Amino acid sequence: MKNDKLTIDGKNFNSRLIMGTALYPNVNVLNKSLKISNTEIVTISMRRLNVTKKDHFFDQIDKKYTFLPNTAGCFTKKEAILTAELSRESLETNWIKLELIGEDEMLLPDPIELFSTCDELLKRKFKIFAYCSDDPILCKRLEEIGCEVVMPLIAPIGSGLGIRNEHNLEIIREMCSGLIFVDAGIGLPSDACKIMELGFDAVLLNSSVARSLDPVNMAEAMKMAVIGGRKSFLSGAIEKTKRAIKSTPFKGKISNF
Amino acid sequence: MTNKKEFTINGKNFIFDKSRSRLDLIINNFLRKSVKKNIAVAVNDELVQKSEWSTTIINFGDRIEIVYPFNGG
Repeated sequence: MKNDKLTIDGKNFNSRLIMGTALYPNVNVLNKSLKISNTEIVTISMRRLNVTKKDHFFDQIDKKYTFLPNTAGCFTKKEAILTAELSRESLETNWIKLELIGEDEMLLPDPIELFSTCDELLKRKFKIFAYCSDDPILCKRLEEIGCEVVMPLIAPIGSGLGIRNEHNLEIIREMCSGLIFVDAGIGLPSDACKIMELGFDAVLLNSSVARSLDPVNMAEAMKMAVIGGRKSFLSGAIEKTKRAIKSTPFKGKISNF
Repeated sequence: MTNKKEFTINGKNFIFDKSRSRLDLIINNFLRKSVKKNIAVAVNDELVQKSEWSTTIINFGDRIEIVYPFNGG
């Protein structure tokens, strides 16, 4: 268990918690939260530069992290590809967290546009972290086409609703042999723990920490939950039975009165 | 929308000056000496790599996007 590394694109990581960087009360709380979470990979976006703004977030964040740029807010293949190209130029990384949103109320991913965009980005040598719905067949197809990581949601972005369809998550884990993370919908550390107990490789979250009353404390709770869930998965849980199996032997007890 | 004598940077209109139409000069002017390592640039929805800035000429109506890493989930 000591050598239980998360390997992505040939790089080894100790932490299985990937943290978003948005919505924190300020950059100080963000930096403290990231530090205590022990995360090694953080997500960022690419946005128009405002030259009148002095305190850019990226100038104040620790550069020790591996940055995973996203295509948040993209509705079309064209937008997503340009955003991916800009982030590769900016951050010198082939990694892209591919988000293609189908509508703007539930922010649900558009599976058809996503699949088509993956095809093009793979030709352009990107390593895709595909944010998708929790459809087992879609996850399998995204894995087969060559996505580095497949990342089903458990509930809408920022909803904090937690696991809505545990059965689908079990099927996805059974069907996909590659890296599967959960991205979006986490509310509580128990959600993160459960995801890891199901055998997922990592958890990606943002709002559940950033929007909590005490983000630094919640970041630590998420760290512990992910570690606990992973250890549980690796330890081989007991089988569930409908009847009791006694733990203390009856033999030797004082009487039968 | 731009008229025939303008181009845009991040959605804002700028007056086109033929004597200063090289992309690297336009970027430097826009950034006001605060050129950052991690900026990336697109012209008319196509990435222009840093190595191509000095050889890229901007024309009337071109749309320049200058982006930088921001918070994201």
